[in-house]
Amino acid sequence: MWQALFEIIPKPAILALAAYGAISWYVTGPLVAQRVAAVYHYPGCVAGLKAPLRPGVSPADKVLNDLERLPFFQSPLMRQLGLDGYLDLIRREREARREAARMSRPDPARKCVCLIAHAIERSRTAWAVHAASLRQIAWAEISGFDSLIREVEKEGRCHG
Amino acid sequence: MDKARILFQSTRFTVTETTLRTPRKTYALKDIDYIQVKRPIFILSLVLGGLLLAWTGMFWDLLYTGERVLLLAAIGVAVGLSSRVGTLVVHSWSLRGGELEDAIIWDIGTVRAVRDVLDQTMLRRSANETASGTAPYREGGDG
Repeated sequence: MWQALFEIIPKPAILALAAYGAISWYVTGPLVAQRVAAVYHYPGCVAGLKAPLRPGVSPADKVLNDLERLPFFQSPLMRQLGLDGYLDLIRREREARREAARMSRPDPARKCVCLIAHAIERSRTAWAVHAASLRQIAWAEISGFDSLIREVEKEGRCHG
Repeated sequence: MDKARILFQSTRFTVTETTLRTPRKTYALKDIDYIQVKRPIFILSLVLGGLLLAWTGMFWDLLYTGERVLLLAAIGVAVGLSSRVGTLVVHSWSLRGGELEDAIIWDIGTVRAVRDVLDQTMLRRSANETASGTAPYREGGDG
């Protein structure tokens, strides 16, 4: 088979193509992946991780607000006894817990770097083909790279 | 070294009327059947250089200025240098498979000059042998 191939295509041209393939696998593929990820995928990843844990008013907060509005808590006796402040105490405690949860999350920038590195490693062949084909071939791993990053995150990688 | 007249001399090659002297070997011209000159890595570097040039163009937006300059310069230098590399292969039917058929790698200009001198010398030698009737294989010979 090789003999027939060498008869049709000159040997140096085949060697050049093999060298180009190796360069695409080891150098240009990973380079293109890193640059594309940095430009098109990293900002979205960081923004996604910086988003609040539970946006909007939680059901527990809604209950607290409703309780505050009850005539029972509005009565002067309750205020005199300082029981209306009890609701504030609960609210502050909940806020402190939420802040602690936010602080315990890993740094979004570092986490995204880690997630992207894992996603690139998983789609290495696709990036090599993309680089070698001069952007003409983009497999699903490349066109859906954001999904791949989310998939890597769901697997529990890059925590802590 | 033989006392024959020197026809060509460079840092690596010396051709006289009877011998070809290279850094590693000296060949008797009478043993040589033909000389082959090639540019072994030129097509390879041309194809690879072309592909890398196309790659640079297609991914221009993802490269830093320094990388663009470096890539273009490296491709140009590599193709330019590879076009200057030549090999001289000395063939002999009688010694086929022996060490006579080593490739000598050097600048293509020098290698071509050596081949030209060798060709002329071998032609002259062949003409002299034919004229004096000492050629080993003469056309129309009695076999």
